[in-house]
Amino acid sequence: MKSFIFSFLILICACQVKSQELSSNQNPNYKASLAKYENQTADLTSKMNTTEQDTYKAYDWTEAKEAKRKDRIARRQERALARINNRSCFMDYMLWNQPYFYYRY
Amino acid sequence: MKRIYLLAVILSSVITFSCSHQVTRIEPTATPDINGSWNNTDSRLTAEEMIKQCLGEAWLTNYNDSKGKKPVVIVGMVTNKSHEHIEAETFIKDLERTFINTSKVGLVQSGKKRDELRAEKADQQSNASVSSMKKFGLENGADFILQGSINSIVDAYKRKKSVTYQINLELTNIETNEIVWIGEKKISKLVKN
Repeated sequence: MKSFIFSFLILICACQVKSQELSSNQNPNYKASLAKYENQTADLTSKMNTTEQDTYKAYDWTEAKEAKRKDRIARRQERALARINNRSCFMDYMLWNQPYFYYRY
Repeated sequence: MKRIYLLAVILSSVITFSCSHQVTRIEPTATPDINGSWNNTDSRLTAEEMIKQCLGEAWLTNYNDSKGKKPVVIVGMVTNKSHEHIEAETFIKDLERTFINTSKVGLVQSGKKRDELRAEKADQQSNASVSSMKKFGLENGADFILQGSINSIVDAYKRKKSVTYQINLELTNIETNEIVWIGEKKISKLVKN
């Protein structure tokens, strides 16, 4: 009687192990995929319920015009500064003595 | 002398009113278009359309008929591939709220909020009384994942610009990878500067 109960329990355990391993139609190689992803779950699920911003820059006429204007102003300022830095003392003396001289920036 | 006083009053009132800014409260449903960018109205229209499509289509009845229970959904990531910064949470939350309020679809927490929940549960294991302590391993597993994308097409010439936004949400069966529903909302605008 004891051996019958013992063998019956072993049979039930074996059936349970079998059922845990594979469902019907389940791919027997599923453990390879499980091993690949089970260590990455924290990384892969951290962005859930969020919006990933992967935006691009679209051409906008008004923005482009404003950018051009700013570039032009910066270029002129640089040119004026360069002109001031490169001026010689002799030229300064000569120019200041002209009656209608004025600096152009 | 009177003229000087009058001038002073006018000048001070002009200075006071020109420097102050005005705030008017409006209904959220009546948000005006200011510069043609994505705004509250677009988010609201998207939410309304997605709710209508999601709860009115076949996937829900198919699941109810085959499984005999309501589906459980987890919200995944939405990718914004448009030319503007758009936060999808504004319309996703409307959809989530409808899922809960109608009781047609179950919803489970995801992302950082889920991590916080698990951390709290872990904290309870050592700090809460045994009778009130919540156990691990009893979470509801989701049947479907909701993911989405936002795209835009911009066509501009001089002062005219046309923008079309395309918002897609899709529900995928987690076990089978089968996409059971794709919701779509397109919004087009013509902007003249």
